[in-house]
Amino acid sequence: MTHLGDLLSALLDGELDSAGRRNAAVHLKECEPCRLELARVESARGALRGLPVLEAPPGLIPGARRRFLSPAWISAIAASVALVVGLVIGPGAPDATVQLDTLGDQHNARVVGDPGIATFRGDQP
Amino acid sequence: MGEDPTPSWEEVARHHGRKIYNFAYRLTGNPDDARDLVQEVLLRVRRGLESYTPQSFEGWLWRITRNAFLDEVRRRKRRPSVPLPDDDRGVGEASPAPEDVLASIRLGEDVQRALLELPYDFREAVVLCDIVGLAYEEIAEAVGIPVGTVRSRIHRGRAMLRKRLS
Repeated sequence: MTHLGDLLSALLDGELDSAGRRNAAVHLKECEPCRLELARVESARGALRGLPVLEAPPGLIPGARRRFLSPAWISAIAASVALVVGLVIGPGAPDATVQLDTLGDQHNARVVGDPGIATFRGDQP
Repeated sequence: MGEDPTPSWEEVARHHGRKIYNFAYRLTGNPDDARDLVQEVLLRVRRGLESYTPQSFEGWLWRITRNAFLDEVRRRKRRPSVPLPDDDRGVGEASPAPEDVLASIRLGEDVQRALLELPYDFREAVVLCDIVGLAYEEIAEAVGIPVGTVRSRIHRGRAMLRKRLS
């Protein structure tokens, strides 16, 4: 019996036509050495295909852009949003105590968040 | 038809630059060599596009890449290269569990090391197939060998790799 040899890799890579695939399937049913070899080359193929795709060093490829914001940027943006929302909505009932070091921030947050002020400043239509 | 099948240089750089980098890195295991190769290939592509006649673009591009790589290898023959850098900058930007990252780096290093031990023809065949993702016909065109030889090199390359990994 002639073994499948390199047709096994072609089978894994979808490089056989339908007749070739049928013949290979029939042979594999009866041939243990070919089944073992198939498992071996399949594992090597999987190891290669499982290697991480490396990003080229920044600036090397013209026009290449990062597709996503990095987790650090997402965290920074989320923290900023939380800070502003917390400052505008968070205080709840008026507090008679004035913290001088946060007064400026509170004022800025209100100015940014107040639709009336924004409209007056022309920030919104 | 007003369709122009010739891509611009920027398109080639944008769509294929990362693959060229990975091709070079996996063949050499060296980020500096990979970087130099990408620059050289993009330069040659820029020049080549001026006289490009529509054909199999993948075959054309990877023939240029391969020739540039072989020229670089010849040029650097006298300079010893580092087998595998401890540089894992490119392993990805996601943040899986640290133990998963370590495991994947170790596994990747093992595979990379085994890959570098393969004779060039076999290494090239499996890299073009399993890393770059070319079809056998495209590899045959890029390397200038019959499809049957491509199939044989890929299969033997994988078998050798498996032996080294076990």
